[in-house]
Parts: sequence; C-alpha cells; structure tokens
Amino acid sequence: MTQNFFDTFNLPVLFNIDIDMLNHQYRTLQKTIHPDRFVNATDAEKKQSLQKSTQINDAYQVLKDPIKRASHIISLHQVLKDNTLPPDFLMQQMEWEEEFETINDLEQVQLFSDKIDGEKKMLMDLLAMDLDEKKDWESATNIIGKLKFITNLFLRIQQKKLSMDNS
Amino acid sequence: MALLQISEPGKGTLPHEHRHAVGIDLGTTNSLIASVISGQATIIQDEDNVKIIPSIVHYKDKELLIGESAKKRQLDDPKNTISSVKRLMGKSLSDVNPKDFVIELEDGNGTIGIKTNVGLKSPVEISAEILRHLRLLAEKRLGHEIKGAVITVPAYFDDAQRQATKDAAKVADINVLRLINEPTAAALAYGLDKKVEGNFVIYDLGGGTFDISILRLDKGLFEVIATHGDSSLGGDDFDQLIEQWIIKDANIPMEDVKIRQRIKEVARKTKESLTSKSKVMIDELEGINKELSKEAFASLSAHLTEKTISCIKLALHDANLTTDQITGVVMVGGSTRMPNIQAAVKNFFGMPLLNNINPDEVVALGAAEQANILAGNTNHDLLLLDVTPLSLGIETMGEIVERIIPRNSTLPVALAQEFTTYQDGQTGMVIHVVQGERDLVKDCRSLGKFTLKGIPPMVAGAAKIRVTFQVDADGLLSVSAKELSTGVESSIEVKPSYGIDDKQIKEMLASSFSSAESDKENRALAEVKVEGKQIIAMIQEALNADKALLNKNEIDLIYESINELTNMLEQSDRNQIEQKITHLNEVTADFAERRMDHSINKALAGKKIDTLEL
Repeated sequence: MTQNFFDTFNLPVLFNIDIDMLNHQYRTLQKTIHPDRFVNATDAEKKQSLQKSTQINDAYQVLKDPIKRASHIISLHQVLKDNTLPPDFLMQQMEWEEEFETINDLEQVQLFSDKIDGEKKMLMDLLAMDLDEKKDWESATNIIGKLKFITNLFLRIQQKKLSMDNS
Repeated sequence: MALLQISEPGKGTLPHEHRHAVGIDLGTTNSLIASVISGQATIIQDEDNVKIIPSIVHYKDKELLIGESAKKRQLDDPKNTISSVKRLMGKSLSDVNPKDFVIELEDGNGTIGIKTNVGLKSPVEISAEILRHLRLLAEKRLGHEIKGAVITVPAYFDDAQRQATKDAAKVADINVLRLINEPTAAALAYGLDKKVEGNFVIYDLGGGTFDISILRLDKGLFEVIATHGDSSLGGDDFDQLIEQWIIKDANIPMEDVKIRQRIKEVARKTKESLTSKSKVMIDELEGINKELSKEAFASLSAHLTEKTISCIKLALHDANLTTDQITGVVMVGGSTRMPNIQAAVKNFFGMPLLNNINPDEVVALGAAEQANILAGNTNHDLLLLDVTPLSLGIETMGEIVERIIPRNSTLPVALAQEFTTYQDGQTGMVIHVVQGERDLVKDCRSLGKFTLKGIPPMVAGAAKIRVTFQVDADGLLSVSAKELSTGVESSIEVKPSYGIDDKQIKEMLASSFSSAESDKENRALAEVKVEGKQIIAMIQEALNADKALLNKNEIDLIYESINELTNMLEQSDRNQIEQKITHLNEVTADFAERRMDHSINKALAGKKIDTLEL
C-alpha cells in the first residue's frame, strides 16, 4: 500500500494543489519536528525526529513537483505502468529534436522555448482534468510520459540559452 | 576574569538551565570562537584581547604552540609549523600536490600524515589542537564548561571533509550540536534580528575556499535553495599570483624554504595594502624592486574573479532565479575586502553589497546565534533548512555512477535502494559510495566502500536487501541495511572504510597533551552521570505532558527502567550506567514516536483553524 503524501500535509488529493498551503504546512511541520528542535532530547526522540523530518522532506519533494505529484496520485489508485508513447508523439519528438539541433541564435532559441513551454502548459491542463475530474488514470499515464520528455527538452533549451548568454 | 552571567528567572532547573554554547569558525587561515553573551553574539578574545586566532600549530619536542605564538615560528621552523591544515581535511595524499606545501606529507593509511619533530600528525589531530585551544579559551573567559558547539564548514565540503571536522571536535572533547555551512552562518548573523524576507546570495571568499549560496528567508525559515563553489579557490590563490609575479625574472633560490616563506609573506601584505592604496612598492626582498598597482593586480587576477562569477551564474541557474529576483548580496570572508572582487560582484548584481559586519567575524557570530538556538537558550522560532552540496551515488556495472541523492536536496534526506545477491550462498556485499556530479566513478570523489555482512545464505537473487542511505542534518552520510525476505534485519552490519573509528578517537584523546588517564576516566564517569540525570529529567517531563498517550503497563515499564537507572547512578560503574541509559532509550522509543505524531497532528490542526479564519 502506497503511503498517501497528501495526508502527511492534511491536504485533499488533488493535482491542482494549493501550493501556498503546501508550503505553509511543510514549514509548520519542519518547525515542529526538525532535528534542530531535538538537539537536547533523548536518543529515542532524536531518532524519531530524524525519521519524520526525512519523510516530510520526501513527501514535500514529491508534491512540489507536478510530474512526481501526478505519478503519486495514480499510484494511490493502481500499480504504476511504464509509459508507452503513441506513434504520432514519437514523430513529434523527432521534429522537435531536429528543430533543437538547427536553432543557433538567441532569438530562435527563445521562440522555440516559448513554443515548448506552451505545449507543456497545455498538457498540464489536460493532466489536471484527467486526474481531478475524469479520474482517467490511463490517459494521465500517457500525458506524464509526454511531459517527462517535454520537461527534459525544456531544460536542455534553457541550458543552450545559458551557454549562448555566456559566450 | 570570568564574564558575568545573567540568567532569566525561572530558568534555573534542568533541563532548561542555560547551556553555554559556542560558535566556532574553524578557518583555513584563522579561527574564531563566539558565544551569545547577554543576548548578543560576541567574539571571545584571548588573554591578549585578540579575537582572530591564526589556524597554525607549532610542534617541537614537548612544546606545543597554537595561534599567534605558533605563527611567529613559521619563519625559523617552517617544517614543524603547520598552517592551512583545513586544505588537507578528509583528503588522501593522492588528492593533493605535496609540492604546494612547505611541510612534509606522507601517506597515513588512506589519510594524510604530516611529518613533525614529534612524529606523524594527522590533519584531524592538528585541527583538534586548534579546537581544543579555542574551547579552553572560551571556558576560561566564560567561566563555564562549554556544553556544545556549532562548527562551520564550507558549503562545498564533502562527506569525508565534514566527518573529519566532526572527528576533530570529538578529539578536542567538544560536543558538536551541529555542523553548519559557513555562508549560512553569515546569513544568520545578518538576518536574525531584522525582519527581512526574500532571496539572498552569500558570496564567501575565504583563505582557501569559495562558496556561493542562495537562501530564501521567509517567516523565520532559512531555506538554502542552492549552493555552488570551488573548494580550492581562495585568497591564497591571489597571494600566489603576486608571489609568481614577484619572482618572475628574479634570481631566487626556490629550494630555500625560508626565502619562499618570506616571499609568501610579502605577497600577502602587498595584497592587503592594495585594499586601501592604489599602488604598492615591493623592495624589502634582496634583488627585487617592483611596483604593483591596483589595476595591474586586478588584471593579474581577473581570471580568478571571473571564476567566482561563473559559479554565481550556475547557482542562480540551479535556484531557477535571475539577478533581479535577488533581494541582497552578503559578502563574507576576509578576501572579499579586495576592491576588484567588490566591484565585480556589485557590477554583476547591480546593487550595493551587504558588508557592514566584519567579514572575518560574521561566520563565527552567526554560528554562535545558531548554537544558542540549538542549545535551547532562546525562544527564537527560527529554523534552518540546509541542503546537500554534492550528489551522492553508488558504483554500478562498468564503473558508472548511479545517482541516489541529488545535489541541493533539503536535509535530512534518505533514499532506500534494493539489492540482491548474484551468487548462491552469498553472505556479504560491498557498496561503493561516491560523491560528485560526474558520470564515471573515477571522476567523482570516493567516499569509501560499505561492507554488508551477515546476509542469510540463499540461492542467488533470492535475498532482498534494502539499503538505506541517510544524510542527517549535519550533512553526514550513514548507511543501514535490512534483509527483507527473511526478516534477519538488524544483523546486517555496515562498515565504512573511511574516516576514523571511535577507538582511534579515544586513542587520540588519550594521547593528547593535557590531563592524565585517571582524570579521563573520572571525567567520563561524571559525564555519563550527568547524561543519565538529564535523560531521566527529560522523560519525566515528557510523562508529565503526555502520559495520556500511554497505557498503564507502558507507564510502569518506563518507571521501572527509570528506577533501575536511578539506582545505578548512585554507583560508579560507567558501563552499567551506559547500559541502563540505552535501555531507557529503547523502552521509550514508542513513546517518543507517539509524542512526535501527536505534535505533528497538533501542528496540522492548528493550521486548519488558521485557514478557517482567513
């Protein structure tokens, strides 16, 4: 049985999470149980504090990140599957890869970056609908697969931008 | 004279008595010790009213000198006068270039040994001498025993370097409350009393290390969001540039260590003079008559300045921030006095720099504030959340690193990984842990091999060994293992191959220059008795507060264990007392967990009410 990280912060299981609330709960909990609060405690308490503080950091990392959060929601309902991507998306991937290789000035990189960012936002909206309204885990699993690729591509674009800035 | 201590009314009894805690900046060039005295973080001065203690130890026969008096011997006896030992902490001989050092280095069983007149000394022992000197100094000035210390380390220090620092503290008989990163300590010194919020960059250029940290300050929470740096870049490198510039085209016998030491000295003084003067004449060395201008020095060292700016860019990238999202830039470390450094950083961020606290003192002052909070002497609601500076990984097939805990993860952090056996009847296994960002094992820093023993013999692939890598709030790694299929959990023993073990630390403690063996035993017994009394007091208090979380049977068991310990405290058997303390900890483990869950629920419930009010 997967542990429900939303319970850890006393939050409803939703992809469209209240980030401010998550941050607030995280801080409240760490201020209560962090090892710094147990420096003068018994060994038993120190051990507990270390474990709980570690678990809360772990849960926070998962809920803070949209892709990890989405996977976590699915894992609460079914065993996670590998994401197989539809053939038309594979074609799309190849086109983007080609475009990534050919762009070579800052303006082009910015345009491409905006395009991919737009694509990411659109998929995030679809994912929210699948997870919070339709409860369509199959479709959500597919979107997560696409988002993993797009997030990675977006990161590479930012790195390319950074190296162009520097030179 | 001991300083007058004013204690608040009603705070006199265990466990709330004032615990004298100090902050220690164990620096490459200099070290400082500070404490919160009458609510104010204050650097503790030695008998000559000096605050800055050179991190230098001089060994000769029965003579041991530390600080300024050791520094004076550097010229006439450089081989027995050890400085910048921080650069050797947690390193092996293959990590350094012995030619960079005036002192003689040797392989000391995986770590470095330094040849002196009184035999081979390890960097841990030498650092311990400095730490002990600081502790004794503080105890003398405060008139009290020091109950605990926060020691600062460069943010970029790896596990071995942190472990070595903690070991040195143990040898110096110091109870480490926490190791914190130097830049974080500086931020504490700047931010504690002011109600500032926002993203802050800490630019820390010391004698031997450079760190960049980005912190978010928000409602009493200090969150480190990114760190970067270079563990071998510092003011010493700027000195070396001037040194090379001085000896260029001059005929100087380089094998003469005394002359080399002289040039080093002149180079450092030249650099310091250039912070206030526009040019410096170098003529005190025979055969050398040269003038260095501020501008010439700036261009001579431009590549070093640029290197630090590149680090800032990387840290900003990791934090996902741009310069306009930065609220302030804090300058730390004596080397940030260089005008060319100030100008470059100011120019990069386009804002004035925060540098009104003495850069030499700011780290120790911040560490003292944190020590005071951790010791429980203040009601400050502040919490510091630090991160891992480097990724942790394990070696897999083909000497490839599999990353298990990524860099910049908030501490404490843990990750569990499952392993299996590949041979029938296999009972042991070795896990090689490395630290660093590169993909190949040889490009990362090896932290050592953890040997798992006691795996129950089974057919290949049947055992399921769950190995947990835990990095605690000090940034130190521990590894534990469980065999899942049979439940022979705790018998799997994990041993690191690096660092020094408790036995070696005890030996170093025993061989230290001060007190005789019987004193040691008496002191250890006294300490264990105090510990026993404290744990009883703490559990009593916990029982008074949360007895409702236990049933009668559980309460009886705890009281029984308390009574056993109380009886044992009347006697003088240290082993027996230690056993009873361990037993009491075991008996109260469930209670501790329930109390922790209880306070978590209370904290979350409190928030619910807040939201309703919104």
